Amino acid sequence: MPSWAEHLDVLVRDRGPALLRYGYLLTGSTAEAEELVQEALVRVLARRPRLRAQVTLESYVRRTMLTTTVDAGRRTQLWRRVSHLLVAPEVAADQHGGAEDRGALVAALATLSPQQRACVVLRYVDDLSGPEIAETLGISTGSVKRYLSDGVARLGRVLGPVEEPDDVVGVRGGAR
Amino acid sequence: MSVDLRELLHGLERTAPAGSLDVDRIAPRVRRARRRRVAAQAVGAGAALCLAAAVAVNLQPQAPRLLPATPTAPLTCGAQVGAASEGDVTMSVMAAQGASGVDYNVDLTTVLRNGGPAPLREAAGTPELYLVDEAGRVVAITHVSVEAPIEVAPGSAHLTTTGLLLADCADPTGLAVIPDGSYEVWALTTVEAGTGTQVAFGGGAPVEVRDGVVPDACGAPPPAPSGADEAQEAEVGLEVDARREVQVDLRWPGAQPDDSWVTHTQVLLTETGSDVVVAVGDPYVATVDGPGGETWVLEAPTRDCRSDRVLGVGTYQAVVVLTTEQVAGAAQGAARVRQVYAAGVVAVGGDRS
Repeated sequence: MPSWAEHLDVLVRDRGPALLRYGYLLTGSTAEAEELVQEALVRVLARRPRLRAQVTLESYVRRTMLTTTVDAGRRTQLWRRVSHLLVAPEVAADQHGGAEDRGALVAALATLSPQQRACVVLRYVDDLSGPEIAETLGISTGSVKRYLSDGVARLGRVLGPVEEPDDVVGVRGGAR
Repeated sequence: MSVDLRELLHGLERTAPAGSLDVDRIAPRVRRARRRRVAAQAVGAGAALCLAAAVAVNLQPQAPRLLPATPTAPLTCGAQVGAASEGDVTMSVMAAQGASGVDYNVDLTTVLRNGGPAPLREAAGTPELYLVDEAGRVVAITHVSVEAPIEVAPGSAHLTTTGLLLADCADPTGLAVIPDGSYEVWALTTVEAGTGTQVAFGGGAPVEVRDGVVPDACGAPPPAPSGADEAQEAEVGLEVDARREVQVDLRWPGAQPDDSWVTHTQVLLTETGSDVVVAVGDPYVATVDGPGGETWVLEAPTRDCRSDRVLGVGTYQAVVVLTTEQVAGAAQGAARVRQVYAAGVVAVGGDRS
């Protein structure tokens, strides 16, 4: 059975770039993404003495990245309030507009709390349902509804109206 | 036309800036963490819960001995500290209370707040941390290494978790210890904001030094608030999980949705209410948003500090000390650091695994 050090080598070599890109979605910063992935790797490899598959290990790391993100104070010690970005732009972003829209998306994501950001990523990138998000983050489904509703509303103020996924019924517009 | 958020996010993920991971930096961290885990898992399991109303005490610098003028440049060893800077740009310091084990380093978090209309940028070569004695003189200086220039948007706060080394700055070797006594930690940074360069200076976080270090709380009576400024403002929950890790819940019942706090945590357990047998702290701050509150886990497992063995089964009296500051919301500009005390009973059970 490979040691944790061998697992670490393989994971960083083969899946490091993907984990860093996922971390960028969660943090909006390359440096913070690096720290987030490192922290998640440390936590997972410290807690899992017997690892059977690299895929399983990566899923643990991603999940830990999410929960670490939600625990924002422990993640980077960096906190920003960007309320000025909540002002709606004159023209909503064109989703095919390239770098300009990418910048708008990064700016819009920066207005989200870590909890909102994690829920949005799980919903729209990982395609998880509300209950699945709740299980992943270890929070209630009611909290997921609130974070998603508030997060999407904030994004919408910068990007324009957000298209809801087909199965989003019951996720958006939950009780506050 | 509505935005396809799924497509946008996948596109951002595909084109995210490249970073890098260094196995040689990660592996030692894993090794250290695994040693802690092995020790913790040998404990057996137990869980308990206590809820307590809390009282908050404002931490104020010893203002009477401060000079009225705010420094305009970094301070030198032996210099007299001035008053905290006021106005749009403020600095405050939160010192982590004694964790398990002694340390020649004071864990702390600086909060640089931009209340002005323009973004500000922290100048190269700053910030600096100062240990100040009861006479108001600088006795230790630590230069904080900042990897990249820091920008703080209007209405934002920037937090830096760092440490101040307890080394007498008057000693050319840098090896002389700090004399026993009560001290404060202050921080200074130079920022460029709108019209020019200015200094952000603030602090006053209390630190006790014994035998050259910040003493462990083990074996001493738990602290008690000297006076409650705001009774029952916070609700604190405490739980010891199966690995003997400590989970803390903090909620501010009167908070507004935009309110946000950062908090250092110290948990102390006693058997009889007298001497502390478990002292566990966290060098990092947790962020608590709005009325919903937050839950976090301290990384260090609880151990009986008298024997350095696993914490035994039993009922313990608990004191949670939270050093906290509001960084967003209605009271954002107050730059007020408080200590919140909560007390209750926690039962630690046997192995459930």
